[in-house]
Amino acid sequence: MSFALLLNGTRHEIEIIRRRPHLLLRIDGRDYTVQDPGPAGDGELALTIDGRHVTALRAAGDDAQSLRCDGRTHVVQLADDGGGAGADGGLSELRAPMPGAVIEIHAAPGQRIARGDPLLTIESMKLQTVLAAPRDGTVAEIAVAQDETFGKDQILARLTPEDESDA
Amino acid sequence: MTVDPDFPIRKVLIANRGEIACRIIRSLRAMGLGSVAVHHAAEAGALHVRMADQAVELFGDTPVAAHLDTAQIIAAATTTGADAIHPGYGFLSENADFARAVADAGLIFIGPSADSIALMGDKISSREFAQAHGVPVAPSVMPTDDLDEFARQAAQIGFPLLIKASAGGGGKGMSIVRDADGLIPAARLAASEAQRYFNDGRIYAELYVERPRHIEVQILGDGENGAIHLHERECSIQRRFQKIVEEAPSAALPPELAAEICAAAVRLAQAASYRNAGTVEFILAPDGRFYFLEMNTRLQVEHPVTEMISGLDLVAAQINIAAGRGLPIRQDQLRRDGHAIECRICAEDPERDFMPETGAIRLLRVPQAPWLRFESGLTEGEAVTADFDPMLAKLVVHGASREQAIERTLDALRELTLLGVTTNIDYLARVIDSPAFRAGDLHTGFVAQHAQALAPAPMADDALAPVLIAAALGFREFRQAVFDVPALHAAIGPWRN
Repeated sequence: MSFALLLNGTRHEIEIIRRRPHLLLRIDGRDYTVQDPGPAGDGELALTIDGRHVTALRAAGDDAQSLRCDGRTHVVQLADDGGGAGADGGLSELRAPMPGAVIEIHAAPGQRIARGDPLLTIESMKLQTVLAAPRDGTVAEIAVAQDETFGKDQILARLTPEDESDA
Repeated sequence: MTVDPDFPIRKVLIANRGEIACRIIRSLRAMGLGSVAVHHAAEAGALHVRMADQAVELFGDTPVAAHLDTAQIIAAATTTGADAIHPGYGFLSENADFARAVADAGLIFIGPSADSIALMGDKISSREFAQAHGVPVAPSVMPTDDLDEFARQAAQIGFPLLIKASAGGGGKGMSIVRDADGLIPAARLAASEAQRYFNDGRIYAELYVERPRHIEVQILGDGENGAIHLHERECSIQRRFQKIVEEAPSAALPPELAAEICAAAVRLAQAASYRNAGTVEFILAPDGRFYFLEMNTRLQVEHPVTEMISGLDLVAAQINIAAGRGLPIRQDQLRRDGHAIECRICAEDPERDFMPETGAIRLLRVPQAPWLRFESGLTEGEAVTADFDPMLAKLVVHGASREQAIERTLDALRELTLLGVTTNIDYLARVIDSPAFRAGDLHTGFVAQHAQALAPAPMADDALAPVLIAAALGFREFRQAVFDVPALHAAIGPWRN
């Protein structure tokens, strides 16, 4: 059974080759034997990989694992290959590129918009940025209010899914 | 600790939050004084609120607006019976009206007089004051919209020159001119940009210092004529015009030059009859000339590096000065022990131009050693929002020498773990470990100059695998595939593939 992981944005394949007597994993074509896989959850980990002891700290985020290993910090995501994000590659959602606040809302739910039309003006670090529609379509929802603050990657607006708006 | 019965301060309201509020509460406790925290509803569970003896909620449309509400803060002090207000840094700390309002309410402002704040808070008046008292300022052309007069004065100063919009900010209407031929076209462009962006066509110019170092001097003044310095600090490692690494003393500054800069700062403080802790900031040119930049009339973010080499508690000194008890030491009693480095731990992404990041503190592991201080107001589980400044904490490390301070800082940064929000911890380690930093070859363009060398090194394959395996074992889907399999299937192996 195989999983795809994104480490700092780069994709890696990790395959479960054997589970007993020790876990055998194949990563990017190379095999690794893992002993003491440890408990689930956040905190210290002590793994033995190919006989070598490895310690790390791990914490789960919303859809990622953050790790501190060998003095470096990493963020690893499970690549969602099942198409859960939508066949249009997330083009139905407008996500915040950085944390900030809503300065102006340019479109309302139900409104037809063309790709590139302004949806929101946001301010982050005293810089104003206009966020534009990622494709043609209909505004389904503006998920933030005037002056509301938001975090990075938060969904700010949604478009009606393509098949519905085209129907 | 027993408290002097005549001491005029018994309880202090801290008009701030985060690490600095926690740090001030620690000194209050050591002095046997009471503490009152203030907070917005969004930070009700914050560490400074739990550490203080009492806490008062402030109301406001945004958390920042609440922390800037003078009337509410003074009312909170009066209601809780506080005698004094400590403003920390940022927020209301350099607001002359606030200092005046605190005094008018019959409370002690742990800071300078409102007049000192106003004098030093204005770029032109502080510059003129410095110049009048023999503190060097960068040669400059005063604001004008007469381009011929501007060119005449500018040519007298020499080149390179930095032209700025009087009403400016954000780099608009700013340019560097390297020779006389470029002066008039650049001035015309700057004036038209200034007119367009700020509706004010006035421009000014000052001598542009190449590869400048940021050197600042910690001073203490008693409000009369007594003022001392507590050595200089170097804060040349900056990004977005904000410091991220500071050290005391400066790196590789000739002792005579350091003494000269410190003496200039004391002269300024004495001339202003300055009361409180303050910082006089200078730009140092590679040829050893130095120019007054500004004076900060408050406790500075990086004050702990000075505390570590001087052995003084600056917050306690501020409180004693505000209480009329004078300076903690005479200048000739000042000692200097080793070297200290501070790293500002910020929620930001150095790979994306240091953009602020948000998230939550999911895991926090702090290194501990007698030679380090981790100044923070953080607790695990806390959200990191865009409501406040991205600085989360400060790591301050002392060593017998600069070399030892560097090694200890690297060890501490390596051990420090903060997961759940992207931080600059790894980036700071690369800065401290870089050959240029180790050599003390510093200037304010350091981050830009060494951008390539400071980028993260690619990971070797044998370093990648442990990270991927440790991460995979954190995902429920992966664990199920590994552990929740009937024994028979497990024995057969990956037959389904």
